[in-house]
Amino acid sequence: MVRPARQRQLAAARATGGDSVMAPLAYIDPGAGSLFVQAVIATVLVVPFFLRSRIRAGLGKIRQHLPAGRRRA
Amino acid sequence: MTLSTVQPGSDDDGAVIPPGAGGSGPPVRHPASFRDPGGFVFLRDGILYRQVNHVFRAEWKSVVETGLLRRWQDDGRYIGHDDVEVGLAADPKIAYAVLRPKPVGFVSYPYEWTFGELRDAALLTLDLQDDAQRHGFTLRDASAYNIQFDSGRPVLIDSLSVAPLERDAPWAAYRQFCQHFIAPLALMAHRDVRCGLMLRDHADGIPLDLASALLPGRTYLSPGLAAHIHLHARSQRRLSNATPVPRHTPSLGATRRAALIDSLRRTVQGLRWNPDRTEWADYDRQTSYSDEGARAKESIVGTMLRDTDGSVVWDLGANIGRFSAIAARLGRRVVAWDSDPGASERHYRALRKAGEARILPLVQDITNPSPGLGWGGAARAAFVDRSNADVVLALALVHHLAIGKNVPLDSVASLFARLAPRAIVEFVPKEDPMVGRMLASRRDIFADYTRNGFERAFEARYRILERQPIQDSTRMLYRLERR
Repeated sequence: MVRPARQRQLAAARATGGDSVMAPLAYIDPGAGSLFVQAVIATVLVVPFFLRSRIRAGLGKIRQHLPAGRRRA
Repeated sequence: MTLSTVQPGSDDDGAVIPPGAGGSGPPVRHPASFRDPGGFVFLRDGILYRQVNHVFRAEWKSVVETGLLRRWQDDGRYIGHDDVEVGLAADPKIAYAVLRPKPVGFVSYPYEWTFGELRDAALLTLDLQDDAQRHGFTLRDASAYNIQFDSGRPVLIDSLSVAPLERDAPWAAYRQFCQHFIAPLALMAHRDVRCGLMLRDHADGIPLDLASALLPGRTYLSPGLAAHIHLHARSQRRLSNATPVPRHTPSLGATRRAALIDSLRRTVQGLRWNPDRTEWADYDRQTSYSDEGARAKESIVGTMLRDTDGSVVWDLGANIGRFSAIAARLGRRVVAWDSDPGASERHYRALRKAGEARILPLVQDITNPSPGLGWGGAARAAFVDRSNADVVLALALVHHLAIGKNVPLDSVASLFARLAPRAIVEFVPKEDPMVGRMLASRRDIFADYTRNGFERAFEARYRILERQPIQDSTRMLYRLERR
């Protein structure tokens, strides 16, 4: 996902005092509280999200196997 | 119209470069385009460009190689740009590339959008972030000013918003998204739709502690609002005072990032507002005309518009856009302003349903219009400075300004003349039942509010080309051309 040149850039940013993996790219302040709370919220939500995604994918597969006339539009 | 005044402007928004700036001579960097070290916008020879700086070269190359922006442009979610010679850069020493963004029909701001427009802009931002994440990219910012309405739908205008996603990085723009979209939409839906105007005072969105304090207690029962507003505000408060300052950035894997965006989308989709309860939302149903009078007025307005040159019409006091539609049918592009958020929202919903792309409904009280805002008062241009109108359409409006708000008739004429060179204006005399109702509870201090007084005031700035009485009423329509 991240190219080697970018990895080097990130390492350099950290070595020179960059305090975050986002520092070279981000120009807005993400806010410490916002970073923390999004991690908490995402952690709480990930299980229902994962289950919903699997159920949706499963239903999609079932629909694909139904005869054309019985599929809902 | 002059395109130079209506193109997307700064690094994170749709700022407008003042007319005349950068017309010829050296390039003019927009005074508000300073936030992003990755690039900035400038005007050269009347054309708007965006410079990409060397510091953003690696990110920009990745974005271009992946074809993400091209795909978003093809499906109408990104305004689009042309790559031009780097020699056109405003600051060649630091320039890597120069882009020429496609012009937007009219630059509007979030505090002028209807509830539905702000909601659609929020959903577009989330769609783009979701799509970007799936391809290993992210939106570096989520400002509502990165979105403009073009051909009836929201589009991303900031080319430099997209960058490669660092492994397991959280969304840096999460707070900005909540402040620019979730907080105002929640306040509009759960407190009062006029809270949308708070975006005028808060340049980077409504602070979450303020939104949390203003929202009714029942919003704690909404999982989305409880998390993204109330818990978020509390977390900000706690960690902003924390010592030592936390240096660790929490990591967020792909599934958790997708879950966050899904939750934000569900929260936005769950915010609804019924526009039927505002003052003027059903004005079209309680009109003062007979059927015959209404048909006659439509016919006269249509003929006058046909006889009036110009491609852009500003319909002031457009309500739900009955006359904007006539202008659009004649091939004109229309900006339909109304001070009533309910009427504008009904107008927007009807246009979306009909797929009408030539009309842009916006909320604006022209007795207290949007001022110049942001750094130096220049980041967001004032209402009057953004006029790209060829024709002002002011139907059943002047009596609300002159009698409802005590604005002198010559001031009304002066404002219209400032906005456009041509105008179609309706005069409603005191004998009309609507004006009678307005004067019923107050002293009539409007001695000059007569047909003669109206013509005197408008003739100081316009030539009267045509007068047409509206059948079955005491009203009169005027076709005017600025002197």
